[in-house]
Amino acid sequence: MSGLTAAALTTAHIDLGALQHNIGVLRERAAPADFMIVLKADAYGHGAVPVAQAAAACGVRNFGALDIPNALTVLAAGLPSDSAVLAWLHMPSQDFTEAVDAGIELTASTVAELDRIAGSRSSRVPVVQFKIDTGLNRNGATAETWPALMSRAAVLEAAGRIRVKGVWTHIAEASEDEDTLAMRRFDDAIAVAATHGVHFSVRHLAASSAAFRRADVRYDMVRIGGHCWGIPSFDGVTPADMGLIPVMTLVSRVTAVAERASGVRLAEIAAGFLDGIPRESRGRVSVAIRGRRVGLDREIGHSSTLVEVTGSDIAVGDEVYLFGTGEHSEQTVREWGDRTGTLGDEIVSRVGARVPRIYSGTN
Amino acid sequence: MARPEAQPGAASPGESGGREAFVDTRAIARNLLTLREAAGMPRVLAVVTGDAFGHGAVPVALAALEAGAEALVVARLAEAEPLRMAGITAPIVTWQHAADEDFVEAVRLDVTPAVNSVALARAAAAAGVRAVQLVPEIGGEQLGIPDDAWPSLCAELAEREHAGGPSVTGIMATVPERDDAAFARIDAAVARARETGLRPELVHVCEYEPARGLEHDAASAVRLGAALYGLSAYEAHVGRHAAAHPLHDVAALEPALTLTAPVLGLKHAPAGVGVSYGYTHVTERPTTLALVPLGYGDGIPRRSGNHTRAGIGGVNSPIIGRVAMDALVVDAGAAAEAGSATVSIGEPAQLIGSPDAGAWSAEDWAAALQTSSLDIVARLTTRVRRVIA
Repeated sequence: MSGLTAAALTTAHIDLGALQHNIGVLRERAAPADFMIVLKADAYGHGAVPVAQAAAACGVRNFGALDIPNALTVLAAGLPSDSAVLAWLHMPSQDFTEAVDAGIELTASTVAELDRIAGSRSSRVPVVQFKIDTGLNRNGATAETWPALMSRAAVLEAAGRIRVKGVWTHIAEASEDEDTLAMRRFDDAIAVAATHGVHFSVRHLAASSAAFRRADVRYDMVRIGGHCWGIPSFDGVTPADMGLIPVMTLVSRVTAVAERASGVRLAEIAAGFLDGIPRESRGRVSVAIRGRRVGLDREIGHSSTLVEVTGSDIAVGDEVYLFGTGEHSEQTVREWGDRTGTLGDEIVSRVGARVPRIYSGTN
Repeated sequence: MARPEAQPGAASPGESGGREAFVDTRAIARNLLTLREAAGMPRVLAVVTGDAFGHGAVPVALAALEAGAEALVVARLAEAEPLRMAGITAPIVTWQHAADEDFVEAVRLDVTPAVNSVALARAAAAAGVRAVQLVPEIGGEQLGIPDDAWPSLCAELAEREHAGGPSVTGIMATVPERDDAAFARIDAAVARARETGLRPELVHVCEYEPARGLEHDAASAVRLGAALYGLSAYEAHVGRHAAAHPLHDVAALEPALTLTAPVLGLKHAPAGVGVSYGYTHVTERPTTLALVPLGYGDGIPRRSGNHTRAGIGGVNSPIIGRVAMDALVVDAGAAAEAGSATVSIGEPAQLIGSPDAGAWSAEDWAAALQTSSLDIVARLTTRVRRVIA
C-alpha cells in the first residue's frame, strides 16, 4: 500500500475514491431524493474536511455537521457556494451569531432556541430547519410543543427574522412498524405546521439504514453516514453485497518477534486501544499478516498487542492489516463490530487521534 | 517550571457550558508523590503517551516534571514533537519504532529511544542519538532483545560509547504481573550489561510491580502510567492487587479527569415508552428523561446504555437506552422527584466524577463494562473539550 512512511507505525488509510464510489451508489439508490453526507464525529473518524471536499467534488451539496464548531470547520474546507451545512446540536449557552454570519443552517427544537437563533447579532437572516421527535424520545419538539414552535416560526418568518427551510426527525429503527408510525407522526407535524402557515421546502427523516431499504421514508432528502464509509447497517450483509467499498483500512506493523521456551512464537503489533483496537476485541477478531489471519487472542495493550504466530515466517517490519476492504485477507470493520457487539461506526469513530490519516484516491 | 497557560485554580469543572473533560493536574502531581512513596523509589518516569491517555500531554508532562519526574515516556517518536514544541527539555524516552526507522527525528527531537533489537540499536547509534536505552527480553508482554544477542550488543555499545557514541542511559522493562522469573532476568541483563562496562543508571519498571524494586537491586526507577492518572490498567485491579501493595489500591489515588456535559433537554415520559435507537429500554413508570450531548462519537462506549450512570441533580441516575453517536438519555426521575433544583436545562450532568464525592467514577464505569478505567478515560475523543487546571 502506498503512502506508508517509516516513522508512522500505525496509520489509517482513507480511500477517497472508494468514498466517491459509495456516494455514487447511494445517491442513485436514493434518487430522486436529495443526498446529505453526515460529517459528525470528524466524519466518523475519516476526517471531516477531506471527506467534505471529496463529496463536494462528486456533486454533494448538503452536509450534516452536528454542531456549530464542526460546521465552521467544514465550511472552512472551501465548499461550493451552493452548499448547505446543517447544525442541530446546540449547547444551552450557544451564541448563534458566528453561525448565522457563516451561513450555517440551524435546527431549532424549542421556542427558546428559535428565539435565540432569530435574535443573533448577525445582519444575515438565519435559515432554519425544525426538528420533531417522532418517538425516539431524545431531542426535537414533541407533538405537544410543536404547535407553539410553529406559531412562533410563522411570526418570525413574517417579520423577516428567519427563513424557514426544512423539517426533519430521527427514527428509532426498532421495527418497520415503529418506523411507519414515526413517519405518520412526521406527516402529522408537517400538516400542523401548514395550519400555522409554515411550509417546508425540504423534509427529511431517513438515515443510512432506512434510506437504503425503504423508498417511502426518503421524502426530499436522505442523511447518510455509515454507508458512505462502506459500513453496512444490515446484519449478514457485506459491503460488496450492497455495492459498497470500505473506505478506511487500519494498518500497523510488527515491531518485534520472539520465540518463547514453550515453542510459542509471538509477534508484537504496534497498535493498542489508544489506536482504536477495542479492548473487548480480545479473542473475537483477527488481523491479517502476510495474507494470513491471526487472532487477537491476548491482552489488548494501550499501545501494542501480542499475537501468536507459531509456525509462520512473520517477521519484524511486516504490515499488519487490522480491518479494511479484505484485499489483504483482513476482516471488515463491520465484522469487527459484529464480533464485539457494536457497530463499525463506533470503531472507526474511535480510531485514536495519534493515528495519522493518509488519504488516497482523490481526483 | 513555569506553566504556560492556566494558573492552578483558574479553571473549574463545567465552566465552558459544553462537553468538557476537566483535568486537574494537581491531582496528577499528588498521585506522583503518593506513588513514589508507596513504591519506595525516589526516581520516577511519567508515561504521557496517547496525549497523556487523553488528559493532555503537555500540561500533564509539566505537572509531572514539576512534581519530580525526571523523564517522560511516549510510545512513538511523533509524540515527542508537541512536548519539545512546548519547550520541555527533560529526557523523553520512546519505545516503539519501525523496523526501518532511521532515527533522524529522534536526533532532531533529542529523544532517547528504548530499542528492542540489535538492528535498531545500531541504527540509533549510526543516526547520532545522544542516548539510548535497551529493552531486554524477559518473557513478558514487551518483547525485547533476546538473551543470546544481549552480551555482544552490550559489548558493542560499550565500545561505541567509549568512542563518543550514544550513552546507554537505561534499561526498560515491563512486568505487569508478579513474576519473579522476569525480575531475575532483569537482574541478569543489568549484570551482563555492567560486565561490558555499560552503566545504565536508569533501570525502570512499570508501576504494576514496583514494590519488587525494594527487594532487588537492579531496578532504580518506577515508570508511572495508569496510576499517575488515578486509574487502573486492568480489570478489577483494585480487588486483585490492593492487598498486595498500597500502590495498587487506586482508592488511595485521585482520578485526575472528570467529564461533564450540560442537560440539553428534559422530557416527561409516561410508563411504557421506548427510549433511543432500537428501544432497548422501555420506561417502567412515568419519569423525567434528560438528554445529554455525549455519545460514542465522544468515546462513551455504545454498549454502556442500561449499565451505567450519570450524576444529575446530585443523584447517580441510570443511563437508559442505546448510547447514540452524539447523545445519551438519563432517567432523571429520581432526582426530579426529590425536588432537586438542579434538574434543569443547562445544568451539568456528570458522567465521570470523583469517587470521593460519591459520584459515578471511571472505576464504576470499568466495573460495569468489564474493562479498565484507563480504557474508559483514554478513549474520550478530541470532540470533548479539555479544560486544564
